[in-house]
Amino acid sequence: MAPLIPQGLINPELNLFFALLIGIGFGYVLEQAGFSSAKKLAGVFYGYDFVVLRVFFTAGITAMTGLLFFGYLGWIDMDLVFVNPTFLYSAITGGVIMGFGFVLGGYCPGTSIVAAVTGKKDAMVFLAGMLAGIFLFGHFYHDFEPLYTGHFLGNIFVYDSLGMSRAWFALLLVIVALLAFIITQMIEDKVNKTASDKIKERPSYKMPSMLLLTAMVVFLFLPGERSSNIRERNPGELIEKIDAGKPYVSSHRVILEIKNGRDELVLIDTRQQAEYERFTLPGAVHIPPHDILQRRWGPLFRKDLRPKIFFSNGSSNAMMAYLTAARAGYDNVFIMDGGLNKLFQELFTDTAIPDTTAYNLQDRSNARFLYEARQFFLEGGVAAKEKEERPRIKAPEESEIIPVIGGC
Amino acid sequence: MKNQTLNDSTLLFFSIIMLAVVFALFTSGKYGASNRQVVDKLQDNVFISYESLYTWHSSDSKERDQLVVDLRPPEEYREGHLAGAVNIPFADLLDRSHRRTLKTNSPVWLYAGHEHVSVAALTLLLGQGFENVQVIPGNFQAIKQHVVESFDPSRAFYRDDKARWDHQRFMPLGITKEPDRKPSPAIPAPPEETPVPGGC
Repeated sequence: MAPLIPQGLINPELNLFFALLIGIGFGYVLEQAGFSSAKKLAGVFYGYDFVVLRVFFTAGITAMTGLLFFGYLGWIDMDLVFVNPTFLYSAITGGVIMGFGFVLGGYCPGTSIVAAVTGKKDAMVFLAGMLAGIFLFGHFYHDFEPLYTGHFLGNIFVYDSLGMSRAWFALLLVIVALLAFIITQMIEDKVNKTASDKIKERPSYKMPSMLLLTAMVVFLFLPGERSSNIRERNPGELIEKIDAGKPYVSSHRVILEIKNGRDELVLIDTRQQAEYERFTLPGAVHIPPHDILQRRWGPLFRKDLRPKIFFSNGSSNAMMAYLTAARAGYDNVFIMDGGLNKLFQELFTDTAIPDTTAYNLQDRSNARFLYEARQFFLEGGVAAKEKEERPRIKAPEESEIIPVIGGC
Repeated sequence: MKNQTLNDSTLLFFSIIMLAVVFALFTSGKYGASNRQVVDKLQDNVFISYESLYTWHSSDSKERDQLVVDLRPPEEYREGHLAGAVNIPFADLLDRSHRRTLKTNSPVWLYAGHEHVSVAALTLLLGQGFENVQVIPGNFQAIKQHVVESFDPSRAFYRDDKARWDHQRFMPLGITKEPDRKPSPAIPAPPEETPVPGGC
């Protein structure tokens, strides 16, 4: 349900409920396919039954085809799809342990649960062993940690490591899968000594295979990225908004936010790195316009409900950032009107509070507000506030992503 | 014939995807360039210098190679604008008639009542697939003051351009005297290869 939760289509609290439903469905399918039998699963190693290999390859290439095309058509946002980060050492160790357990017990984790539920005693022993392993790992996690988090490679993709394009890799994988289907079928027939008239009776899978290959070849010739996307805002809508002055937030609002320190706004600095390091507004996060579309900022723009305010020295960089974010469909983004220049000019230009009746109430209250803010800023109120609270939003480091345990 | 459902469902699945792809290929969509391409292009020098605008302004209108666009509303345009500028109000930027005007081979330079409006127009035009669009830094008042009335090239957008014309401000050489900021009537030759730190 991963992409449906960040889009707000499913309440995160319902997540576990849906996980349960999907889990029951998955278990039912496994059981119906005969995967609750260790004999069937171990067939891969003896060559009499390759159904496990075929099932997982089919699932893989079906999901791949769907994701590739849906991503191209803009029906699914690939940035929201969770990519399991690669920790090389733990992946190798885990793979070895799992393979060993598979040969030894005849189950993989998912199927062992299905088999245990159907009452198979060996599966229950297997399950107990698995739980003991989890317990031991949890208990001695501290000792295992260097191995567990060792050789972190980030969210890498196989096709990047091989130096080939995504489309070519997809085509290659489909060809490998189809070859594997044919070869394993031949091995199976030889081992089981199937009669030749029975082989002829089998339904033909030529058409699905051909369709799959054609789809992959078509994908190879599609132009890389589509210029527009159904999730993006209309340019006309954006023009109307800017023309009506809707994206602008007064610098007074920002001053109030800093003064109160209530964390009601997210201030986003869109200037250069060097400028940001030299000075920035308290609590501001640094995202230059070209970084806005990066994957790691997705949660800030999609999940954080506070208004996001872009600022730069003037308003130009902020406008670039605003339009990029607004076009991408991020709501609740604004520009600080006039930028830092205007903010400083208003704050630090010496204006006394007018006490004659020549000024209206609005002007007087504005002037008083700025006067108080100036006192606050000059007397180090900001520094004190910042020391107290207001944790800065940091860019999420790649290594902070918690790996999710998955698999069959 | 037991597994006919598999064949049928794959056929259905693939025909839906292929139809959608064909449909997507033949409909143009809302934008002409993807968001990432636009962001990459915004990294380039999208602001022109006052020096080049001054050259444009002082040249003969027939020899001009650039299209200068005034993005302010028609009333403000009528009150005063750069000689030779075309009026395309920001609100009607993407109208079909204006699109034809913008589809020239020459560079398009934008200015408006506020600099961020010109930047907004630039971003939107890049998104429509226009390639050769740049922005004149500053609002109309600043442009009028520093290009038309008295030429001051140091009012540039990029730090390098500023430093080129006003290097005393950027490279204090122990001279405490206020730099002579009086505009010169002709464009002075830039000082020879002054090493300048920093980007824009």
